[in-house]
Amino acid sequence: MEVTVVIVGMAIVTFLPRLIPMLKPINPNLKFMRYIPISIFSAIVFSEIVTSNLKVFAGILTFLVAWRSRSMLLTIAFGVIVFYLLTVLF
Amino acid sequence: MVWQSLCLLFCRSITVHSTSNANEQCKRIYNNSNDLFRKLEAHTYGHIPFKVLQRCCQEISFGITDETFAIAVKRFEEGKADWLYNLKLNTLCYISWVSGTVVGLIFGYLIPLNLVDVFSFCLVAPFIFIATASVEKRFDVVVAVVAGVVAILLSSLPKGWNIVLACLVGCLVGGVYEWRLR
Repeated sequence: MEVTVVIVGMAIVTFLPRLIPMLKPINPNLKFMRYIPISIFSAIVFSEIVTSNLKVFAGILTFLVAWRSRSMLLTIAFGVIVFYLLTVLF
Repeated sequence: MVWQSLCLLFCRSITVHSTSNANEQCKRIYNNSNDLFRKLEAHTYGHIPFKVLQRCCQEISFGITDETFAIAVKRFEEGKADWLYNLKLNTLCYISWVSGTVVGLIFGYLIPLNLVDVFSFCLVAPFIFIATASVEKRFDVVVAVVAGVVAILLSSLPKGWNIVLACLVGCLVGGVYEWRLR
C-alpha cells in the first residue's frame, strides 16, 4: 500500500506542475521563469563535475563539443568516450 | 485513453523504482501496481467524456517524461497540438524507455565495474548539452555561471537543496536583469 501511495503521489506531483501552466498561460511579468531551465541544468552540471578533476576536464571538453556541434548524440558519445579515456590514462 | 494514460504514469513510476531497487523489490511493485491498475481502469474508463480527454491530450502531453513533454509543449506553442500525435509519441517513448530499463535490469551486471563509473557521465553529458542549448543571449551565460557557483558553494547542504537554492538565485539574477531592461 505504501508503495502504491508513493507511485500515485509521484505521478501527481510530477503531472500537476506541467498541467497548470498549460491551462493558465504564464503572466508576461514572470519573465524570470525563462531562466529556470538554464539555472537548474547549470547547477546540476557544476555540482556534479566538481566531484573530480577528471570530470571537470571531461566536462569542459564536452561543453566545447556541445557548443560547436549542437548535437546531443555527438555530445553524449564524445563525453563518455573522453571520460573513459581519461579514467584509463590517469 | 484513460487506460493508456494510467499505463504511462504507471510505467514512469515503475521505471524510477526499477532503477533504484533490487529485482525482488521490483517484482513486488509490479504485482501491487498491476492490481491497482486493473481497479483504476474499471473505475475510470468510460466515466470521463471523450471530448474532455481529447482536449487534455491536445493541450498537454499526458505522459510525464521530460522528453515527451518538451516535444508536446513545443508543438502546442506552434499551434500544432494534436492528441493523436501525442498518443503515438508517448507510447513509443514509453515502450523504448521501459524496455531499455528492463534490459538494463537483467543484463546490467554484464557491464564491467570499471565502465559503470564511466556511464555515470551519460547523465551529465546531456545536461551539459541542454544547458548549452538553452543559452540564447549573453546574459544567460551569467545566470548559468552564477547558478553553478552557488550550487558548488552550497554543496554542503542536504542533498538537492543546493540545486534548489542555486536555481532561485539564478532566477533572481535573471529577474533583476529583465526588470532593469524594462
